[in-house]
Amino acid sequence: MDFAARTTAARRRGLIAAAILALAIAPAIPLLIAALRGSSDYSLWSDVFIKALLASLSLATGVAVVSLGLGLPLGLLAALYGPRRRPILLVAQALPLLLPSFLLAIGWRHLPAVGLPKGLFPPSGFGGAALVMGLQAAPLPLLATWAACRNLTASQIDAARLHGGERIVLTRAAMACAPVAIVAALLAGILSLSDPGAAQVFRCPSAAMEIRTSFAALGDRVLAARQCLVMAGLALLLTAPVLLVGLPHLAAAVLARQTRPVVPYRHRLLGGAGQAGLVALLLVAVGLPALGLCLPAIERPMFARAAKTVLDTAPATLAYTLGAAAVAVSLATVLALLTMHSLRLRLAVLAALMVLLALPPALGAIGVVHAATVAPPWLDWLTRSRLTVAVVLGLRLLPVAAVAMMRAVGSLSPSWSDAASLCGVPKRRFLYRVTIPVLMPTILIGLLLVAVLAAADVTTTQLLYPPGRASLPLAVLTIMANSPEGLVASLSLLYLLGVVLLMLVATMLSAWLLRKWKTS
Amino acid sequence: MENVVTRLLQCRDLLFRFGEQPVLDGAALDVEAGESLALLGKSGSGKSTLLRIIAGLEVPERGEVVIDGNIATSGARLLIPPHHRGVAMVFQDLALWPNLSVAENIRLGLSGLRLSRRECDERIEDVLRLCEIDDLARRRPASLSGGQQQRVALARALAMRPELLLLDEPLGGLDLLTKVSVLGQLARLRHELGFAVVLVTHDSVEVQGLCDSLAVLEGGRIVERGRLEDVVANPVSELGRAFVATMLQM
Repeated sequence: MDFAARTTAARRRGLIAAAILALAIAPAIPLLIAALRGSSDYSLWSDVFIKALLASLSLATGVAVVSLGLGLPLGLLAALYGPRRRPILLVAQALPLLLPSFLLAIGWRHLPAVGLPKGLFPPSGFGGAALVMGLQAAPLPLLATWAACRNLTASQIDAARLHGGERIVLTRAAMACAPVAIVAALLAGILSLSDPGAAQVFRCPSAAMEIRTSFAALGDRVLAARQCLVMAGLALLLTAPVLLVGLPHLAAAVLARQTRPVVPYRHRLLGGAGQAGLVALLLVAVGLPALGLCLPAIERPMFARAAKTVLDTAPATLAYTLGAAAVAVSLATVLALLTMHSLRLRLAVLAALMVLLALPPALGAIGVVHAATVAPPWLDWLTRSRLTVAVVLGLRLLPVAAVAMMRAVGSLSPSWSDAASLCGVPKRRFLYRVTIPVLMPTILIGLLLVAVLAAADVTTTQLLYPPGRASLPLAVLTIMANSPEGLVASLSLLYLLGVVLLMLVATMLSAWLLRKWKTS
Repeated sequence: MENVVTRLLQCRDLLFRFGEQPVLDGAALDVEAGESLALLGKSGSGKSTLLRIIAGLEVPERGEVVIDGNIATSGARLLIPPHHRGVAMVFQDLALWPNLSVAENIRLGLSGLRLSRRECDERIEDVLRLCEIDDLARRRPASLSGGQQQRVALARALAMRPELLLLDEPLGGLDLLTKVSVLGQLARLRHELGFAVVLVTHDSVEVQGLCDSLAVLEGGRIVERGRLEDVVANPVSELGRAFVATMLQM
């Protein structure tokens, strides 16, 4: 391909990437129009909304601080002194991120039944929400720190070790990884702005809850749209400086490929501390709430009724989650392949993805609800069906799948495609025979991640689901207030077990695929 | 005129820049049919870039690449695509496709030639036997040793039946014994099949084991070019002198 053709192809790739990103934001456009043109009976800047907004900001700060305080040191210890093989403990750290925050909050709320000190339990109000959401978000800076640390070369770490021992290693690695950890923690805080789950359970006011109230209780879609735009503006305002300063660090940590990464060093004390920390975090973030869920479920078991609810909601849950996973992962794969040749395009797309991720999930969902009210009935299959929920969830979670796919595509050797073009292997054939199979482990993980996160995103589902087609987490959230504790706990427990099982299957499947290449 | 026609490869006045920095600036290189040329140069001097331009994987800003009398690249225009140049390449990292077995690697490599299934099978069988890896046909690259992987990469390249084989430091990671064994095999195959070789290397063992001529790339152009014994007898460039000194010490 000559120079002019390459330039044209690069432009075309940029345009297609921009079109995919535009598609991801498209559901919010009707909301923007409604917010600007419509009229509302209520004032946008009411005392309640301002208070809720301030509470959400405080909560986001708390989440960022808690998650950074836990994630940075544990990520460092895991990368520098963790187990060399079978990093199952590290993979398991992703579990809290995959669960809806309200589920964990329900578990925490039930903990006094175990006989724990009454002054501390149950956590409630702002403190409870910050604790639960901070613990839930801690894996984000933890895994980001781990990835950043793995991007240091083994020789850099060896040199630091020779100069001053483990103290210097830890100091240098912390300095190198801190920017990435801070960016990840801030993103976690920004993401918590849009999550009404734990705040709702602990009766802590939040802007996300206010939006839901305006939409569902007051029935004022224009007010909800405007509140949603305020939240989106706030998220953008907070994300912009974070990305401006931290994007190169984040890109290096998330997308770079280190050919000789750090090999964990055998150090009994620090290795033990790291392992103990990871176990403790997992126990506190997931184990304790799971225990809280178990007790009422054991004391007043209602598994038969819970199983019926699971079966009733299974078709809708599967349609939403699998549909969302298919939409997000296929678009993410295209996006990753489009950006693989250009660093500049990769950075721009990563920045856009982070912004998309930070936007409130209600933005797209309320936008689609607005579109549905003005669209002709023959478009109902697109605006009021299970497909709608799946597509909106898929577009909402595109950033998660895209980052995973971009990292995987970054690990493909450029000389593989050079060798193919030298041999004249048709591009499509190379894609099906080499590129897609090599990406398959990440595609599997991506499908699972998006499916589980889509299930956990109750905001979008609640706003869009067709009557009688609630998903399982939504059914739990709906019956939470006026159903027996035993039923809520049994349902939550079944959901938790399902997520753990899915995680195990996907991890084992992708590990099997990788092992098959290495040993056969 | 006759001389021009018998030359397998001619590179003329190549200019290639990374950003503003010229990597090749007026580089010219000729390779005769059946010749085995070692290309020396400091790190970052543009050796790999020159190989990629010859293969058609990069285009220069200026200059020409003529292969077997046909203009393959002219300025920024690629007139003959990489797979129609009669050129094969073994990459520094070998570029074996990890999810495919050895035989599948070679088969996919042949897919641009539009051969029948039977012809494909025959070529794969031949090349596996030639490279003495017929027992590895069903294995995947990650399960092979470094030397075996080199032979697989070589087999995939030779299955194309190239007239010119480009080797971009492919033996760098091998121990001395394996390297000598692979070099011996390469030299035998070259005599049997008659292809020309351009080998990018820093290693005098590789040069002595395979090459009969030598070129030095410095400052973006070829500053020294001749038969190996002539260069050893009278090195002109700084790098050539250093290389000969190292060779003579061995």
